Amino acid sequence: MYDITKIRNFSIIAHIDHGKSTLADRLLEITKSVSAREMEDRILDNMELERERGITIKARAVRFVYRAKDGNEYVMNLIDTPGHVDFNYEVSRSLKACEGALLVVDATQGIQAQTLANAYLAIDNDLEILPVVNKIDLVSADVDMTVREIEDILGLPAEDCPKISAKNGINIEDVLEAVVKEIPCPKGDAEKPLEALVFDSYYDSYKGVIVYFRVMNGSIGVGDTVRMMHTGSEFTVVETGTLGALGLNPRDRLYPGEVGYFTASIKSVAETTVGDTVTNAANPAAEPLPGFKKCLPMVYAGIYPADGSRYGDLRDALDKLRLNDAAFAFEPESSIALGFGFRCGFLGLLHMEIIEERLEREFNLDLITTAPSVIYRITKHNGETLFIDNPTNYPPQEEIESSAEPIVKATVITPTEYMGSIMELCRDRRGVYMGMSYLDTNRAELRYEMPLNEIIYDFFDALKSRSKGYASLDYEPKEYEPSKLVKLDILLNGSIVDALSFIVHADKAYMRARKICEKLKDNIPRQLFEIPVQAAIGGKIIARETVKALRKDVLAKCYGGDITRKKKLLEKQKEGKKRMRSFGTVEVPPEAFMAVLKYDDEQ
Amino acid sequence: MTTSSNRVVSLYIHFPFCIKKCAYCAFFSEPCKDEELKDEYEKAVMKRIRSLPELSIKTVYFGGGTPTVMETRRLNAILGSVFEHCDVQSGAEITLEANPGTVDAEDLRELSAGGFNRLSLGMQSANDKTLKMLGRIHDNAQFLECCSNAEKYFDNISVDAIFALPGDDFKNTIRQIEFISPAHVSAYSLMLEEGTPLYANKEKYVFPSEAEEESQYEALCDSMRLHGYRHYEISSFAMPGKESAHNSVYWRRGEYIGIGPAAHSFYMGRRFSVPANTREFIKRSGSLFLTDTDYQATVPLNAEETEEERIMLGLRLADGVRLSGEKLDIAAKFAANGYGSIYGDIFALNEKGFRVSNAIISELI
Repeated sequence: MYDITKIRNFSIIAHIDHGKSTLADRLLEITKSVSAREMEDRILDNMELERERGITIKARAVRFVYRAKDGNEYVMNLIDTPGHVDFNYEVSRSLKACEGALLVVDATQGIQAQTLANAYLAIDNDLEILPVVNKIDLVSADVDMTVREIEDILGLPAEDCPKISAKNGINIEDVLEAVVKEIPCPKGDAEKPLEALVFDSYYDSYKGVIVYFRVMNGSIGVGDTVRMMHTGSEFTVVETGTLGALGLNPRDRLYPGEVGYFTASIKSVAETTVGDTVTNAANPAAEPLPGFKKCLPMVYAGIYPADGSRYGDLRDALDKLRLNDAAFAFEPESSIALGFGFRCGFLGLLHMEIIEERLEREFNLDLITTAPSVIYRITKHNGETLFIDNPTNYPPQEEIESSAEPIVKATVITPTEYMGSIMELCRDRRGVYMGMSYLDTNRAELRYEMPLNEIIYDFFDALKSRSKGYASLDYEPKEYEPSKLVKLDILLNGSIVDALSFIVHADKAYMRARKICEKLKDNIPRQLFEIPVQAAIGGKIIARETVKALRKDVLAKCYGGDITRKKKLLEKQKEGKKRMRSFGTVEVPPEAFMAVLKYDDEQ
Repeated sequence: MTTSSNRVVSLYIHFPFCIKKCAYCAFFSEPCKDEELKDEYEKAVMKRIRSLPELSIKTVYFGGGTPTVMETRRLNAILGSVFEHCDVQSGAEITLEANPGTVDAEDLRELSAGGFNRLSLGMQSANDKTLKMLGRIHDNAQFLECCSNAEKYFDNISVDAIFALPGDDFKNTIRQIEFISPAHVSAYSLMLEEGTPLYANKEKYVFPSEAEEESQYEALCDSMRLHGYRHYEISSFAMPGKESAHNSVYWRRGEYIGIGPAAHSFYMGRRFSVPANTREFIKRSGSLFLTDTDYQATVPLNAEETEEERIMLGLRLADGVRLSGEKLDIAAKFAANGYGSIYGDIFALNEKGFRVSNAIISELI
């Protein structure tokens, strides 16, 4: 029975591990939307990788029915959001589909950078925010403190907010009652032309792309011809319906305020990008819904198969991943050192790691990844402007008039005791201090403007190690700023290994060069001859290390005719060799490439 | 039962007992003071010998563990049953591993009379401090006494030595080898193996640098060369004609049968072993030939494996291996870089090559 006043659309926003998924599970359980056995596979996080990382990578949504204490049945649409800064835009689209959001805060940890970032995002989207204090049953929980923080930092009344333990099912019903009472019902006019907001889509091999949307005005049903207002693609709707906890529930037509899906034999998610507006082709809306942004990759890296003969497999795997990930881009490239591979664009480092892991796990590929790069803007003397995401295309220094790099606004929230160390780190990474504020007596928010290229290496790891894991980071792109850049080349045995070249700020070049040479020295196995490892800028050597020649590699003892140990060792050596990349006479294992991607925070 | 058509094999008999385990040892052995267990073990080994088909025995090797823990009468009884049951070729090399501190002059006389004609003595080091660190039960004086007793009854003695030991004066060990001038010397660099007491305590010791280890190895090679030994195998030096015939069977892919827990065999084209469990070995000792091993679970080596083994094992020998085609070309490069020599289509490593043999072998297989 469609009744717009009995619909509640909401999201849960939280910092990683503050209990978002667990709360979602409890809501489904208490409303008997799924049985306990079915709960075993966490429903909202259904990618294996997500479960292991404890974060939701892609948005999902689920509809369930709650019989409230006022005697009415309410249709609840819970729209899950990705919790990481790389997916900020996707979060904002999910929020746009809701009228309210539950802000889950861990009573043992208080507000974190992500909590803040997501809360602001929700406030910006005019959402009703309901704070929920979680993990109240833990010994280290400080409920009063957490309530105070929510009130002081976010300015949200939290005195009477639900205080729960999602894990142990305490006070879960309070949450649902609050959703019914506090979150407004959707508004919309079924008679107006269709306007539906796409907040997610994924590729299904039987039905084609399944588009998740929220109807704002008008209605959508089977047989309608719809148009995606930004991409311009038109489709005839094959199936529509709502999103059950355990699968899709087909229904002929959906009305304003409802959240659901449609299929139309669509071949690629690229045609149904997140944030686009679905309208009726015959009776279109005048304007698309505001806020559409094309998701542009910010970080680029080369991905190569460790075994060159698997290039075709890698291409097929990337094709499959792209079916489900409109933000992920790739094109073929070749490297003298690594052979044939792909230049891939990602939203950020986490996005890159996820793609890499999925390639390795789901497609069983062994990869070599080059150093990630941002997009640099180079102006040549002849006035030509180049956008460079691959060091290979970096023009010779003498042709360059000026160069610029992308800057981000970074926010770090940290316990005050680590502030000094973190400020030092930010300064070290060319951060420009913009200000700070104390969130409470123990925690501060630091604001910096920082080159994105300083963040994409290992800034996050360094931040975690300097704060014993307590500091959190959020960033958003700001603009390009002029910067003194150089291209650093790495030479093995006298020849440049193109896959190891990268672009770096001139002031950082010497330090990076030295570190990378050291790392390579430690990661290239010794061979039967000496190998010079050098770093150079435009032909001038600025750092050098030497991989000494192998002097001992023998397993002499062969006892009582047992040659199996020796055989195993040699087989291992032979296997290892297969994975090596040969550069002239030098053999380099994939680990050496990995090692140069991360420079240790020497603390 | 002697016919010329009998299959020619070597025989290895394993004795898994030790008085105590050495600090560096990762091989299968256990302490044993139990006379009853030794008796049972003797019976079990004899049963296995009796289960053998008709074979022509080229060499016999009693290894361990510490075979001499079994005591002379049992060892002689076991060797006696080998003579009784098998066709041991005349002049066959019959080696016994003996640790100083476990045999006296009388034992050595009896063992020689019993048919053993080669003795392998575990010297390891001439330095008492090192022996103690290694957890050996003997001191150097005991070794020298054992050695002089052995010389009365054996003219084919091999001594084992270990170099690259922490805090060890290896020159002193070399001088002692020169002094006793055994027919054969086996020298290994210390291998730190996981699970050994030495590995567990490795932080306590300062191990010699690679350069120090290399200079120890070179000093040994120089001394051996000077005194007429031939470095005929990666870790073995021998006076002419005294190369270990038994070990050479391993390197040249001759066939051998291993008796005893954890003993390995190469027979009828398959490599297999006896499970490393003494009780289990004793329990199953009455079974048919090979049924005490994992023979059934193995498959004969294929052509590729056979070729890899031939190269891997053959390159341990100064005589080298025959190579062809691309492999010979790769070998020629190693030879040109000073790691060995090419004689026609034979590639042999030299002492520099022996030190990095794994790196070279893995290029050739």
